[in-house]
Amino acid sequence: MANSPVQLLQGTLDLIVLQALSTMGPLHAYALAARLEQVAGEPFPLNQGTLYPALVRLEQRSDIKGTWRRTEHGRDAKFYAITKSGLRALEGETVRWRRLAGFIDKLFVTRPS
Amino acid sequence: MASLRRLLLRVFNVIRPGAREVDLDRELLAHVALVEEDYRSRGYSPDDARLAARRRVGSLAFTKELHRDARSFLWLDDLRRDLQYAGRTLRRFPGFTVVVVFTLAMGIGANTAIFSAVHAVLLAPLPYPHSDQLVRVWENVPGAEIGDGRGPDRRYAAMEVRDLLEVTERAKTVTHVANYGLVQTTATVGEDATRLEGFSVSGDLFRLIGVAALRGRMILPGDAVDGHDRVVVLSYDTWQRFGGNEIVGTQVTFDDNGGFTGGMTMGVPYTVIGVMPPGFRFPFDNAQFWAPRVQRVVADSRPVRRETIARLAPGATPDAAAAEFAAIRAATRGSTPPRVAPVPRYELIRLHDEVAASVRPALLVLAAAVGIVLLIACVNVANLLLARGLSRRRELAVRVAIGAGRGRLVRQLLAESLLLAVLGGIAGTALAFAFVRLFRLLGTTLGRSDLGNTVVFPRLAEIRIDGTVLGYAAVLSLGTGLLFGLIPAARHARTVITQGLREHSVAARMRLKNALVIAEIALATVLLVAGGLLIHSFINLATVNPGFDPSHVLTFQVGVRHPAEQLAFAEALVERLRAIPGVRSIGYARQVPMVALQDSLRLTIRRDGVEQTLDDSPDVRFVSHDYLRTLGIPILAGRGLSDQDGVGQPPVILINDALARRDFRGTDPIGQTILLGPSGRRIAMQIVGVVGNVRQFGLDRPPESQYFIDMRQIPTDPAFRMPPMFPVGAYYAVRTVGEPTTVLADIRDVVHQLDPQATVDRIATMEQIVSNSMTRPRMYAVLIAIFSAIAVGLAAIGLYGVIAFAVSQRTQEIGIRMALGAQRHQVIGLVLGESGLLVGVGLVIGLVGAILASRYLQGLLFGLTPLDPPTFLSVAVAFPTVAFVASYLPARRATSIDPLAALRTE
Repeated sequence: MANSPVQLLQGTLDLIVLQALSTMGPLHAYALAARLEQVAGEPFPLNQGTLYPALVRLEQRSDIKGTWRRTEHGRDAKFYAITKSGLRALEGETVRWRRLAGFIDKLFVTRPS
Repeated sequence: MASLRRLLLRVFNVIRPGAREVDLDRELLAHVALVEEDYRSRGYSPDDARLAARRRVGSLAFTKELHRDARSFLWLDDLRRDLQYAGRTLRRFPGFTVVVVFTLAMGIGANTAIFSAVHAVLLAPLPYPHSDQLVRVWENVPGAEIGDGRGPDRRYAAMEVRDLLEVTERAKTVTHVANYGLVQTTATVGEDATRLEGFSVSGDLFRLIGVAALRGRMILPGDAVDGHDRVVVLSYDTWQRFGGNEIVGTQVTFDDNGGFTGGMTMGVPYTVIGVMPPGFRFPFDNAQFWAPRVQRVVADSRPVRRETIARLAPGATPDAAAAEFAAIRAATRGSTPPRVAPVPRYELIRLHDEVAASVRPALLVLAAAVGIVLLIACVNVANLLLARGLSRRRELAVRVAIGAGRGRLVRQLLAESLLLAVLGGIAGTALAFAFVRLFRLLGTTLGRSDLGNTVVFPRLAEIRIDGTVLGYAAVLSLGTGLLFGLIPAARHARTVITQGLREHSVAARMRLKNALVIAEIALATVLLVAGGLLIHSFINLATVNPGFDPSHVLTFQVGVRHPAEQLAFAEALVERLRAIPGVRSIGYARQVPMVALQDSLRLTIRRDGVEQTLDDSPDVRFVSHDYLRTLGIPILAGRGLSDQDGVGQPPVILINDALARRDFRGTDPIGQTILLGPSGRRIAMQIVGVVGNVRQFGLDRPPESQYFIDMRQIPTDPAFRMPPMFPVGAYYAVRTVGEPTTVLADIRDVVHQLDPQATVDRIATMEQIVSNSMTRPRMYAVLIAIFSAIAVGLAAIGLYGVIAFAVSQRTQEIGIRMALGAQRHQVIGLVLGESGLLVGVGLVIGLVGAILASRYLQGLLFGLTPLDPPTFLSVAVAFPTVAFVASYLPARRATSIDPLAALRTE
């Protein structure tokens, strides 16, 4: 169960990435993946490669912007930073997510026993 | 907005993938390096770190694929790759590519060109708003009762004015009714005078049409009122002719040359109130100005008619409107409503149909012809692809072994076909431009309004390659690409997979190729027969005896200001022109052959004392006495007109052979009398000669009964109601010794000397005029000849290809035969025999098809039936000859096969 890949809706992965970038500042793809694993608590059973489609999607929407920079260890890596429009999108998505989550919560609560 | 940006970026990444791919590679490698470093910092050995990193990141290929899908469109990207690969493949076989593109270009180019004509003439609406509502009103008048017979039924493209006015008031099925009449005049602006033709129109005409003026305003109903009617609208060309400056407000004066005045007042200034946009030529191409006409009903006399058009109300049909017109007429005249007559009183015909009707059959034939050419082209290309596929079997087998699915292979092969089709389409479109130019060139006529409307190709100026036509070419290219692409592609994919059935598939391929070749030979035969019929028909037309000798004859018109003096002027002019060196004889007449001007008078003949009024009115020709000699019209009996037959002399008349045979059978017409004129005032004219028949109105119309009267003996009594003798001036015919045009300068001098203000125009040699009358049949014959030649050429190439392929397939067998002692001629015979079978079957099918299809050409043929034996026979002989030549080469090559080498090949 822990090793089966989590089926994420496309939209939620975008939201997760935006949220991570907005709280932690610019990250490169590996750091982002590591951070997600850290938060999830268990090895985030997400093929690190599937992060890349999400990144290119967000970049094409100009919600994030990627630039090549040096890490503290002197290696080249592409860092992604959230943009202004990305922040706006994040706000909107967060509202939507909260509403959806709240609605689903209510469904479970009001289930007739 | 963000989604739009993403969409555009994705499309961009399909077209220019390069940089993104490189960047991703770099990023992924960096990612792996970072992970590796991470592991190393945790104490892994370098090798273990690398492995762990790879495992952690996962399949790079998979990531790249996902990335590619996200950053662009996967299917589009695949298509791009397929097309690039297809392009490389085509470049590897340039000969093949050139042949295929050339073949397709022929088919697509011809079709595109003919479609542009079909589109402009048959499909596109006329350049007026809601042009499908515009109709012309025709009236059928049954013959009046005369004695125990009936006069001829008549059909007019015009309504009587009093009915017109009633209908305009009361009809509900039409929103507008308008009329117009021809005006031929000289227009003067300041000092500048020029001959113009235009129309006097009812006040509602411009509103009916719905096209706005370019400058100023158009004519409105308020102008068709006494006191306000001295206004005129000019055409764009006329405006340019008069300088092209501010012309609204200037004065134009119109002068009467004895032609039709259409009710306009001559000699007084009209004010220009507007100019129409370029290309506006209503109702005919010769419309150069329009003036309002005040509608007056004159209570007496014979009915005045005006050409009438109407605009149907939305939803109304022409038949319903025609019925309403008839009902209104009946109500107005107080007669009983007509019984269901065999022919309706009024017929309303849509303008668009009228324009298209004369050329629709021919255009459809041409469309069918180029359709056949395209089919043959596709067959050839399919065969070529099938043949080439055989040589690519290895390549495809390798691709299958690597892992390409059948769908992928089919897609790849289809991409090649589509690329070929697109290239063929582009080349074809370029070719279409040339074809369209040729079409317009062939259809160009002398552009004279006096030679009638049936010669001109309608809407010729509108035929061109525009957006719609380009769209058609694109669809056609892609369609043909799919058509000839799917068959070989599916075949290849199947045969590659089923390796074990190799031999079987080759045989099946041969059968398919043979079937295709038979099909294209049959199609080419049909087209060849059609072409042969049209060419034969045109030759018949060109060699028919016109009844006169058109060579070395120059014709022209001289217009003078004062119509009353026309006759005296003509006589004086002829006298002087005779003195010009190089002139053999001169005549003048009301009209020369092919001029669309016709009048008929009621004739009564008196044979041996018995009078008989002719049912139909033969064609009357008013000519000078030298006219017949000038035109070379033969005298069959008696004499022609002479110098002596002048004013005051006994009236004489000549009849033509047709009239003599029909109405004077059994008696010698010479000496009999013809009575002309209304009862009580008739003139007796004695028949002094019988002349040959002249094809007066077109070479394809059989000669009608005709009679000739000397100009000087024309009755001047107004009771005779003679039509205006020279509406715009007499027509002169000059027979010269050498080239007719060499005397033109001298003629102009003489005319100028006699009257400095006289104009010489409508200059053409009689040969030019006759040739002009054959414009359309010539055009069809030339075009079909070209298309037939292309079709036969393509079919021959196709046959060559198939026979060569067959020989290459049977190399081993032929080698064995030759090794066993077969002679060269036996081998050739073998190959030719196979070819002969294909040609034979195809020919038979084609001839049967041609027999069935040729009846559609009926209306286009002159002097032969659709089953014309000589044509069919020549095709049946010519085609096999061509096929023989096409097959001989591969047959000969078969004989040079080295038996030993053949036996060794697998």
